[in-house]
Parts: sequence; C-alpha cells; structure tokens
Amino acid sequence: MNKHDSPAENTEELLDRITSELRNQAIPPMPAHLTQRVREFHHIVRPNASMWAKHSRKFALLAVAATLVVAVTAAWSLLTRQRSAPGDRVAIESTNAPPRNDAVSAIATLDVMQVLSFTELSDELDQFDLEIQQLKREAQQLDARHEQKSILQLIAKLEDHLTLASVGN
Amino acid sequence: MKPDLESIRELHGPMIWSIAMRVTNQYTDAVDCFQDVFLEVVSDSQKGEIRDWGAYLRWLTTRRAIDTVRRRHRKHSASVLKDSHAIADPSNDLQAIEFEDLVQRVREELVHLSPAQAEAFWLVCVEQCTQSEVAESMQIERNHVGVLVYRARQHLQQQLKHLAPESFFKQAEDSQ
Repeated sequence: MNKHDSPAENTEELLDRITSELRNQAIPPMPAHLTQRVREFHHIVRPNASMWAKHSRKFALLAVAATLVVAVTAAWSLLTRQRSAPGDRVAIESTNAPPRNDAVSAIATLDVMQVLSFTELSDELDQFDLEIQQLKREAQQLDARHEQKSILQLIAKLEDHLTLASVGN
Repeated sequence: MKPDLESIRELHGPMIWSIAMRVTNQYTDAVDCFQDVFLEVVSDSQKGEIRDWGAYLRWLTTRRAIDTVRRRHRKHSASVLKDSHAIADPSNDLQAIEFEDLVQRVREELVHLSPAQAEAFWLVCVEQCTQSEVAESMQIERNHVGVLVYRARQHLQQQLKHLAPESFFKQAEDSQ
C-alpha cells in the first residue's frame, strides 16, 4: 500500500462520506403539534414572569417595613441599654453607635412610633412572617428555576431581617 | 429584548427540527430536543441580546441534541444498534445496510468526544458552518474551533479503522 492509499486517507474519505450522508439524510416533516406546543410556552412562562410584577409592591413594602422595624428596635434597644446601664455608654460610643440624643431624635422623626407599640410591632412581624410564608409557597411552585432561586434568595433575606427584628424586639 | 417565539419558530423551526432529527435519528428524541431548545430560549431571554438567532439556535440545537444522544447512550447504548439492524430493509444490498449501520455508529461515537469537540465537529463537518460562525456561537477563538474539529476527526477516523468493514476501504480505493 503506497502513501496515497494509506489507511488514514481512507478513513478520512470514509468519514467525509458519512458526514455527507448525515447532512443529506431524509428528514420527516416537523410535526404540527410542535407549533402549538411552542405557542403554549408563552402561557407556561408568562405567569412566572409576572410573579415579580404581581408581588413587587408586596416585596418592596416588606423590605421597607422590615428595615424600619430593625432600625426602630435597634434604636430602642440602644436607648434602653443606655438607660439601664449608664456604664455601657463608653463601650457603645467606642463602637461608633449613635449617641443617645441622636437616637432619640431619630425615633422622634419616625411617625411609626406614635402609632406602633411594641405589641403592635410584634403583631406586624407575625403578619410579615405569614406573608413571607405565602410568598415562599408560591415561589416553590414556579417552573422557572432561575426565577425561583432569585425569589427564594430574596425571601431568605427578608426572613433574616425579620429574625433580626424579632430578636431586637 | 424578549424574543418573539412565534417568529423564531416560523423562521428557524424547520432548521431546529432538521438538526434535532439528524443528530438524534429518533423521532421522540427530536421532539423533546425541539421543545427543550424553545424552553431554553424563553428561560434565557433575559440573559442578553442575541445578534444572530440562526447561528445561536443551530449551535444550541446541536448541543442539546448531542446531550440527548449522550443520555440515550448511557441508558441503552447496545439496544439502539441492535434496533438499527432489526429495522434494516432486507431488500437493500448488504453494503448499504452496513453503511447505514456505520453512519449510526459514528453518530453514537459522538458521545465519546468531549462536548466541545462533538459540537464543533457537527457544526463544521455536518451543518457546514464556518469556523468563524462556530467560534462566535461557542464563544471561543476561531483557531480553537479548528483544533476541536481536527481532534474530533482524528478520534472518529481512529474508530472507523475498527468499525468499518474491509470492503469500505476497498470501495474507497476503487473509486479513486
């Protein structure tokens, strides 16, 4: 067998014939039901896509409320610590915590303190918790994994806020 | 920008179906692959704008179809080859049946290539895309595509030495 007819050239040519056969093989027509199936994808995906839009206001309110609750309870605990243990003042100031007067004025500007007692705050926390559990259940039923993950991450953050708030309270 | 599924299906549906059928060579696998591609298009539509839907879908379908062959191979590699023998038309001459079998074996051999090699080989050698088009779809250098195709061909040629009957080489020699 000379160089021209070496096995490598033969297998190369055979591979070319095979790729040509693969390229030109008869393909059955596309099934009609696939067209309908693709149309349905819009409906499958749309409810998931609207999850953010549907609950965006709720998410925003929960985030603001949770942050507010954390801020108020943190300020309140700072005040009570300063009142009950004046000796802590040095330690508090050394950790760059706001001085007592600033904390008082911060709370004074929050109208929420005029209407919310700590009992009410606690009720609110319970209500947020219920809302979050409801959101979590809805998120777990989503088909779109990526979106589900994002929503569950956000819910986990909200839960962290609420836990902090509850501990502070 | 959200893709318009309807116009994508109208424009590229037949191409997606053809590639899915060519790679998988099985109707039900091709149907699954077709749907997987469109679901992926919908799910990933937020990722970024696609410049060339044709090239993107050709690459995505090839990738998903090879994945399908890979899964099928893991489940029942032997039965597919046995089936291809069983459904062969006995009126065909032996050479044609053997060639059909060889084509199927090469298709199944894709699972032994790396995913990148299999995709590059199929897109360049079967779908006849240019190396630049494949490089853009796979987001790699053009030279890298050349290397992937070369390695894939080397592997497949090596396998053909063992898989192909003697007569195929004689026939190749006769036709030269």
